[in-house]
Amino acid sequence: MAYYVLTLCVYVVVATIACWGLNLQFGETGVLNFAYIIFVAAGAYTASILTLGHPTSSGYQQYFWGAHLPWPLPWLAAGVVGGLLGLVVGALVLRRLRGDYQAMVLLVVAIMGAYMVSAAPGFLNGGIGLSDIPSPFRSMLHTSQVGYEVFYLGLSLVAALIIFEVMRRINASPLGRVLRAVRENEAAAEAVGHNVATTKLLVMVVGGAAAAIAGAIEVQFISAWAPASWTYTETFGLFAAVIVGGRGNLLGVTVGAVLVQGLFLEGTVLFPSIGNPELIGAVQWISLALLILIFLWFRPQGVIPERRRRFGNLARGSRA
Amino acid sequence: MPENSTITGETQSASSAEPISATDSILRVDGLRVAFGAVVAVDHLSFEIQRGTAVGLIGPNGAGKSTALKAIGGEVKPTEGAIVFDGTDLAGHPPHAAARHGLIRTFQLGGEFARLTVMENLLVAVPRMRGQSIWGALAGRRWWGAAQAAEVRRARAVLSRLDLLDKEDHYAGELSGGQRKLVEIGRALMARPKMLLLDEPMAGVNRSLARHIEDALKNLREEGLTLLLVEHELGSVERLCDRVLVMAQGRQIADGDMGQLRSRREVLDAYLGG
Amino acid sequence: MDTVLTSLGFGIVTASILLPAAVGFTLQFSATGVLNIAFGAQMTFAAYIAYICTQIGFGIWWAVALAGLFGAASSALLNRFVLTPFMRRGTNFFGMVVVTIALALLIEYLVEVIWGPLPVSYPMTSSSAWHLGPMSFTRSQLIVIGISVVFAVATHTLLRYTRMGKAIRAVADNRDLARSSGISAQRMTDIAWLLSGLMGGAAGVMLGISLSSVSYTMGDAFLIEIIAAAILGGVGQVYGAMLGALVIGVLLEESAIVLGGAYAPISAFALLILVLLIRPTGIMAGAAKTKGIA
Repeated sequence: MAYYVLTLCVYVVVATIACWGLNLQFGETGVLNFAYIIFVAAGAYTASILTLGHPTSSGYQQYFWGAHLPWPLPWLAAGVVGGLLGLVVGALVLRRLRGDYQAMVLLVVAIMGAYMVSAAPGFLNGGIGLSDIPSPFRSMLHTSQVGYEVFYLGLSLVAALIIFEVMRRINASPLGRVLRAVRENEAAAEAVGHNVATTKLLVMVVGGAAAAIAGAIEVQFISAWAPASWTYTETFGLFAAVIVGGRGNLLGVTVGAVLVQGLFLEGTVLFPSIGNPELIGAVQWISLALLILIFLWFRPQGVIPERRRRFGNLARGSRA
Repeated sequence: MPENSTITGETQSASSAEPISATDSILRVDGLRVAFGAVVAVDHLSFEIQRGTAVGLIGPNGAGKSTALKAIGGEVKPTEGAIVFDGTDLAGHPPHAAARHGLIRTFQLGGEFARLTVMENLLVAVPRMRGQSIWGALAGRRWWGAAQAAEVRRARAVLSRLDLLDKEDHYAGELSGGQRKLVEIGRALMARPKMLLLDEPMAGVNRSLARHIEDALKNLREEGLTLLLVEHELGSVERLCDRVLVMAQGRQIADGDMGQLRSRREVLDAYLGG
Repeated sequence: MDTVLTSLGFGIVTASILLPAAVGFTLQFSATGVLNIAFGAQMTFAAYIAYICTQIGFGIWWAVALAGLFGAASSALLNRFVLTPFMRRGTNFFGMVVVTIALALLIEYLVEVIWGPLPVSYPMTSSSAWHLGPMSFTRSQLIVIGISVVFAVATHTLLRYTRMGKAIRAVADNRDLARSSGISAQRMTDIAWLLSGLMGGAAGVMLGISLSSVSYTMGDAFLIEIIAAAILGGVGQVYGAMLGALVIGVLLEESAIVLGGAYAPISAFALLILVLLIRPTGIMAGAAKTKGIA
């Protein structure tokens, strides 16, 4: 039982961090990053090859490079890779194209990414993916599985706290205001002197880094990662969490992540067996889709909406 | 509201007022041409605007006035021509570059940030505020808090002038059309502009709010701000502007003051025929 | 060289399936501004309806027609009762995309629940192949190409010569102007969705015929190619979509031979991204100033 709860907790932390990154891009700035999941994947793969060590020629999985780096380096490296990928994708897609095109092209990029990785077996072991990815400090800590999971949860919470603080500071600062202005009215934001293209690039980098760290945390917990783990529909699950929870509000997004993850992991308990156990996945997705539609209709601002900023605690009108 | 604050909310000390030179040109448009494929919206437009003056740009629908304004502000790329603002050629540069140089354009429609409060609408226009860069943001409130507080005070002074102080915490999208226009003007002021490009500020606004806008613009003029105003409401143009340019079919057809222009044949023809 | 030409034949078949799909997709966007990600799932559903028809006893080509009709009706209803209400509430573009993605998931997994995860196929009679140089076509493939040509001609005729068609073209350029031409916006969008649903439904069945199997993920996988064709031709440009369909269809098959099967889709997408970097409005720029695209 404890084992199950701990697993759920780690998944929720991972989803929350990923949702915070997506919230920065989509909730705050209005960037419809349909390729978000590839940043998570980039982080997962980075952490994998940096902990698996060099691939042996007789080994069962082939990938490029490889190292045995201790924690937290794989996670930090993942963040860097995610940020760089955000820079590249952002520069290619966001600077030259507008609105509708961006969204569609990002969707295509996500699918292309999966195809390319699957098609090149030497790169990241193709469609089969990587496995037996080691968890940090596992061999050093002589504890039970549950004990280790508590420890791992602790590590993930450390990462989550740091990322939360970064997001919170951005959200509360004048930069956060610029992001929201870009979301509301790009042309007007430009007209008052903000470089919209650079701003979007910035959130692609920071959001991408967050996504990648989430991926790194996830992969070292579940020890395996393949293209099937990052289909473009996964991005939608994250979007659902952000929209349902409350875009633009970090706490709201956290609630959304808990709800959506809960739906997917608890789903097997909630839905009575409909006959074919394979169909449970289908029913979960249908429920998710209905949840989104219901929220978009009745409460588009989400469970915990973006809060209104007030500046009331200054003495009015004084110059002192 | 402090008596000696300027329209941009700043306190003005007596010694800081500079004499305005009569031949000081702040904007020079030279051979501006804007073509969309085969359609020529603006054709060889050239004029100069002196610092501290208010110039109206009028003409029938489709004359290219709005396009010219957008080209000057940077939203539209000119096909040809130079746009020299305060010594720098801004032709072809994006709008944020023009804004950074002090040339601010207001919008005919939909220029506000609907889901930001009025106060936030104004704050977001402040150029180079501390905390707007990623490093500033990560440094936290200790770094940008005081600067923001100062800007909030300045914004309140501006809102006070525009009679919008009680709407400070309202979402801009909740206000009436005329109030939103005032918010936009307030926002333009926060940007510490040297010159404002106003795209039909009176359009769709009821009479009392239109007076408010006119008064605000008059104050702007008196405090030395240069204005270029596209407007159909000829009464406002006459009250606000010393000089009026008339455009028709992409070209400039007249230049003078309203009194002179009323009697000129080609101006009347343009309006009646166009 | 021969294999290249043979692939050209396959390419024409793929392009024939892509054409009505891409045109339908683009039509929905140009008439209503909605990027309908559920289009692929709708195609899948229509393909399964055709399957039921064949199980009842209809011939496959009757099934195509019936599925097309089903697609038309369901699309128009979807637009009327789901999409339009959301738009009337002021849901912005991004919100609408999320709505269509939700619908896509809903429809796709509903298909899986109803018909199961295993693919089914249409009863087809095998026939001899017709040869045209190094290209060879089965009878079914020729009919698919024929249907596509009919769609292309019909679409062209509609857009060029009928009042409704001109209004649809006009509304892509300027909504308000088109509204003032006297044709009610509601009727116009209804017709646009009927037509696009018809073409999408038919394309779904044609896809199932071509792949010799129908599964619940079928349309979704194909959607990417539809989007690629639509973007290539310039989003909202119907003729561009036709051209895009041709290019993508041929490219997919050619690269499958030249580069190897796994890389085929990648080449299509790579071309797309290349084109977009050079010419962001797609091949047919024209009036691509619509909706602030460029």
